[in-house]
Amino acid sequence: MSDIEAEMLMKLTLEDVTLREVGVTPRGERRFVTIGGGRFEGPGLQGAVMPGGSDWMTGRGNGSVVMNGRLSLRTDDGHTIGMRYRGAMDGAPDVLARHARGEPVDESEYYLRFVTYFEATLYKYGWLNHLVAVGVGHREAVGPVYDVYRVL
Amino acid sequence: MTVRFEPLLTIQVGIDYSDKIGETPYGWRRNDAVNGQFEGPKLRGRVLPGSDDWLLVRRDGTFNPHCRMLLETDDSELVIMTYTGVRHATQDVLDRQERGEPTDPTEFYHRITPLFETASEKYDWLNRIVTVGRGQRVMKDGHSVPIYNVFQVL
Repeated sequence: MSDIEAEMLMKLTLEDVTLREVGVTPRGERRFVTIGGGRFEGPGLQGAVMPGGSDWMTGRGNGSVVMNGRLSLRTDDGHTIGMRYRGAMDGAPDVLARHARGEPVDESEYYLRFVTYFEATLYKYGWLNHLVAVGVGHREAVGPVYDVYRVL
Repeated sequence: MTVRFEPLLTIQVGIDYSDKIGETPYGWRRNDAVNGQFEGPKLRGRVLPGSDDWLLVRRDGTFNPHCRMLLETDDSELVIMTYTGVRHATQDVLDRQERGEPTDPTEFYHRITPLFETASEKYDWLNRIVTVGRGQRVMKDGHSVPIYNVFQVL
């Protein structure tokens, strides 16, 4: 089987993150996570996370959470980029509960990975429209931090 | 800081028949009824009938698969595999692939992001992982079809 590689695209730091438990719906335990802001920094790609982002999480009651997020990114040179991600968070229930309360959790204690697609105008950032990226998450004091890698 | 991958499976996709829908408000659409075989260190089996790919060729020329497959493992468990992705190359390279001519992996970018869903206890771990696949092109039964090497994001 041939190999696959990835290289750093950006470090995404989310701020003003609040979690609202919606309750149990036909899809599972729905959690509405709002993202108020943040920063992204990578080679040729820097800017702010705009308010209004969200991650509609679904807890499946077995230590597994499906992530489904949408963010609007504004580059420092004034372009807006849409970012959609879908992923999985997996860990022992007490670890995920600590994580949900914003308490420190070591990244070795849980799995948080996602795949992400971007949408941008065809000008400067058009290259983002045809790449696949993966994210690896952990939590720092400021909030969730996602290292996003372009799949080569 | 880096990200690591582990081989999950290789899936060979075939096309039973292809319905060309044509130009729609989203781009150019084709619906393929697909078949296939998959094999990896921890699972192997076949793609069941009814699996399909609602392929979209976007207005920027990039291909987006929209595939839904039902997999049956060789130990008779059912796994849903859905994926979208990106296939991007110059028109010349895409034409050569369509004709079944060899192309070098550096000439195109073809990646997918499969999601798995299963009720099987044995394969429940598939519900909990994130995966990416790398595609290449081969001719099979007169169709240009993909083979994907799919990796688990560790």
